[in-house]
Amino acid sequence: MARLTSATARFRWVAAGMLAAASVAAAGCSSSRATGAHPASGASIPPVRVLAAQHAPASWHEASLLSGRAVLAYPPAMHRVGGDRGTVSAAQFNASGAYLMYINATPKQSSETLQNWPGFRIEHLKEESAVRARLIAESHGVRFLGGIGTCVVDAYVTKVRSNHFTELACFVRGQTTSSVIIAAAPTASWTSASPVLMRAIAAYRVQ
Amino acid sequence: MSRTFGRTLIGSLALLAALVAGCSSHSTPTHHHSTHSSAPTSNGGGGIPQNNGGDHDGDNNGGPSDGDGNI
Repeated sequence: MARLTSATARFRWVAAGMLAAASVAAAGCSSSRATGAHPASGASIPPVRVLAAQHAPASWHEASLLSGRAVLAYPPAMHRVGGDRGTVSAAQFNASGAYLMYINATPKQSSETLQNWPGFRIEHLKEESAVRARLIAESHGVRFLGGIGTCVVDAYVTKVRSNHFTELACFVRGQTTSSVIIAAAPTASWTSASPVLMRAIAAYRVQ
Repeated sequence: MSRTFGRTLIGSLALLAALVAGCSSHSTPTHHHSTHSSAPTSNGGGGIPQNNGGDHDGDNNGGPSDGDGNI
């Protein structure tokens, strides 16, 4: 009887241990899925720390889109680069031609809105150019010069060459226009690049 | 009891292994080195063509993504 009781107790301890291990494994699965794509429903997403809207320094360059109804400002270290028709882009590259900073403004083209922008952007990245994308922060009601926007910070890995980028991406609605402004840098240098990129976002003007 | 205990132990180990394997399949990055077609992609909505649809946009070549809302 004593032997039977001992075996039963041992069985219960082992079974409990197995269940606990299985729970940890399942939680790890949930966690990796949540951080590898859109956060799980109800997950707390921190706000984007954007600068207050302000005009660009006098030394910066400007490029307009939407017939002049939106203006992108970028620092002297960046220069205009090609992009889709109707959009404006500027970038800075290192000596080997790799991106250091990238900024782009594009007229609204699809179903993006102030409300759906965080999910829209992450899904669009995954559909178009990213093997995976992760939302880091989001803010609604961000004030721009002449408009209001919804902004996200996200990180993604490109399908081509597996490059890692982090971006601040905002959907901005003015009185007569809606557009998207993107400011990106390699994830490894995001901390050093983001202040000037955020300054460019803060200087974006719309009508 | 000993035989039952052994079977239960084996079954539990199998369950745990299956869970871990399933987890790995989700968390491992899948690097699809894309073989983009050079043919322009029609957006159907008058949008901007991607996949190097004449513009050689950076996000079709491993560069940062632009603000284009279409594929």
